[in-house]
This record gives sequence, C-alpha cells and structure tokens, in this order.
Amino acid sequence: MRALILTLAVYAICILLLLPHPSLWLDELLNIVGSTKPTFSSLISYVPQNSGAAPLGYLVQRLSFRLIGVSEFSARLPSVVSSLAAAAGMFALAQHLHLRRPMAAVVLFCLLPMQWRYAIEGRPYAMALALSIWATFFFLQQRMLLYALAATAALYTNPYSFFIPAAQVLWLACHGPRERLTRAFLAAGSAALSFLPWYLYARRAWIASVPNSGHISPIKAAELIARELVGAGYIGTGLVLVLAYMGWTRCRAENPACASFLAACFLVPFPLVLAGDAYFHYFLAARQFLFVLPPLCLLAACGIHAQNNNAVHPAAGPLPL
Amino acid sequence: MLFTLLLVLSLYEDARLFTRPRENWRAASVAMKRLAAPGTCLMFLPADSLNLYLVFDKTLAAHVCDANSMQQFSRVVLATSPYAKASKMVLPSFREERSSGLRAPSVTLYRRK
Repeated sequence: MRALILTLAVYAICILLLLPHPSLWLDELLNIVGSTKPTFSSLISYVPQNSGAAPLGYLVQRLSFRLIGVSEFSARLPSVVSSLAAAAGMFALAQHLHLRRPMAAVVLFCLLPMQWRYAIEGRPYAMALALSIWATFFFLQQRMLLYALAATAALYTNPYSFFIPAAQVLWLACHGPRERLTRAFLAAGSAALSFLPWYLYARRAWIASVPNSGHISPIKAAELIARELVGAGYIGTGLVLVLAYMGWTRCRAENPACASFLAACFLVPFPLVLAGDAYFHYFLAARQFLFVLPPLCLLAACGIHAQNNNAVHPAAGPLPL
Repeated sequence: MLFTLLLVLSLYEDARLFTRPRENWRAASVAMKRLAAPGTCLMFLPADSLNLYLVFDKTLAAHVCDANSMQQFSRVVLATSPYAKASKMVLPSFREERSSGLRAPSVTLYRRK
C-alpha cells in the first residue's frame, strides 16, 4: 500500500506539472465548446453532434469549469483525477486477482503512452477507462449494484466501454455458475437499458455527424491496431503482447479462471469494436481499444513474474466466483 | 528485461507528447487579437471554426466579418483551421501582407490593394 501511495503521488505531481503544457487541440476544444454551453439543455443538444459522444464527461468538465474557471488546466483536471482513480483501481484489481506483482501492473498502466495521452487530454476517455476498471473490480467482488452503476456511468461517458461488461458476462456464461451469470447479466443488462434513452435520443445525430471514412480493410485494421494499441508503435505493442502471452501461460498454470477472465476482457472487445464501427460507418481509431489496456497490463505484470521465475507455484488463491 | 525495455520505450513516447509540434489555437487567438485594430476584420476558414477561438477570447466575435461585409474594411485577418478543406481563401481586392508564422491554425493578414 505504501508503494502504491508513493507511486500515485509521484505520478500525480508529474502529470499536474505537465498538464497545462501541450496546447489544446481540436477535439479538446470541441469538448470545451460543449461543456461551456450556457444552459444544460444546450449542452445536451450539443453532445450528440460529436459522433458516439455521451454526456457524463461533458458534465464533469462543466463542473470543473464552474469550480476553478475555464482553462487548459481545469479542462484536463477531470482526466487527471480519473487516471489516478484508474491506477488505484488497477492495484485493487491486481490484488483481488492475487497477482504477485501488483505494482508492476500499476506502473505499466501509468506509463503506457495510450493511457498517458488520455490522462492529460480534456476529453472523457480517461474517465470512461477509470469507470470501466472499477466496474470490473465490483464485478469480481460480486457487488452487482455497484457494478451496474459503474457500468452505466462508463456507458454515459463512452459507449464503447460497455464491451468490457459484455466480455465479463460472456466469460461467466462459459465459466461461471448459473446464479452468478444471471446476476451479472441483470446488472449489465440494466446498465445497457439505462443507456437506451440516450442512444435513442442521440443515434440520428451521431450517424449524421460521422465523418465519411469509408471501409477499412482487415489488413489495415490489423496494422493500425499493431501500431497504436498501446501508443508505442509496433515495438511497444510487440513487447506488451509477448509479456502478456507469457503472463497468460503462467497464469493459466496457476489460476486458470484468472487467465481466462483476463484473456476474455482483452480479446472480446476487439470484434465488438470492429462491429460497432461497421454498424455506425465510423472510422477505426486506436482509442476505441482503450478499455483493453487494464487486462493487458495485468497479464503483462504476470509475464514479468513468469520471466523472472520459471517455477510454477500453486495458485496464491483462486479467482473468487 | 522485456519489461524494462517496454518502460523505457513508454517513457520515450510519453515525453514525445510534449515535444512534437501541436496545434496551437490559443496562439492563433492571441495573434488575431493583436491584429484586430480599427479598420480590421476577422475571417475564419471554415466559418464555423470561430467557436474554437472564442474559447480563448470571446471579444474576437466583435470583429468578425464575412465575404460581403469585409469590403468596408482596409485589412482582413484570416485564420485557417488545419482541418479546413481548402487551405487558401481568395479575398478579391485584398493582397496577402504577412503571415503570423503559426502553423496550425495559420493566421494571415490581408491588406486592401
């Protein structure tokens, strides 16, 4: 716990000092234009003009503006707070899954360029990621009301975050007891249902605002993912995937439920993102895969242990089901 | 070893976020404000990009003109978004006097011929 607090403190200081330095770019400004709308109703009617957008991130940024004024700092502050909450959530997840090196997962998560970028950007991706991580934690803890609330909040921040609860329900369908599956299905289903009013309200404007991107070939999609998945180019993606694979094989030997859970959370969102993009004729972007970073970091953290110690130990504890 | 390599590569990419050239809409707003003297009007390409500059300086809105009303002014400052479909705008009876040197968005001052 001491290592976590120290790491988060250093991370917070670095990120807060660097926060105002990169100048705002177009998408951040579009977010700020929405968050500074004079009335709540004008904000709500503005949000769907950005394809796939949901209102919660705008409302939180609006609150930040109300509290400390409109500036680069206040525009990005919700993302910093979210990134810190996400890092703490990674530690909680790693501990819950009995990973031997929880801090390795936290450090890797904080430093991964894809996470780092959105931690200092005035858009709601970091917030959606944090909510997705805490939803996963509540799922593992079987606190289904909190799970449903976190998944709903994540959905209202970024709809693609729902692919993680979808992966978790699918994993339970394959591995879990029926009673737990029913509860998780009801929780995730209620989150999806609660998002339906916004979807019905925003759908037409989303489709109208989709840039004319055309079809992306599977090879180009694979190339984009390989280059940009973690924000560190092909080499970065290669390194993290090798570590994650080593972690998965190690984890599978020690705790098969944990290995399959993390693998499901990492793999299932890929086809769902591609299907979502195809349905809305939206262009493929690496940020749509942001929500697979937590399971990837957790598997990679297992990979470090596998790299340093080849002996298979008995599981430190089974994944609670 | 692999993990260390990954962390070093990540740190390098994290640092590059602060060193690579970026859009600077604030600098463009400041440049326009500086040039918005009496007899000067502001134009935006595309026209709806005005909202983005107003985030930094709401008073810019008071100096905006369009293709019709610009004829009343002796100087026009044109701000061009890096996302504009056309990178140049033809301003009849005006000649380009100087550019602010900003890359994205660019700000150019035109004077009546």
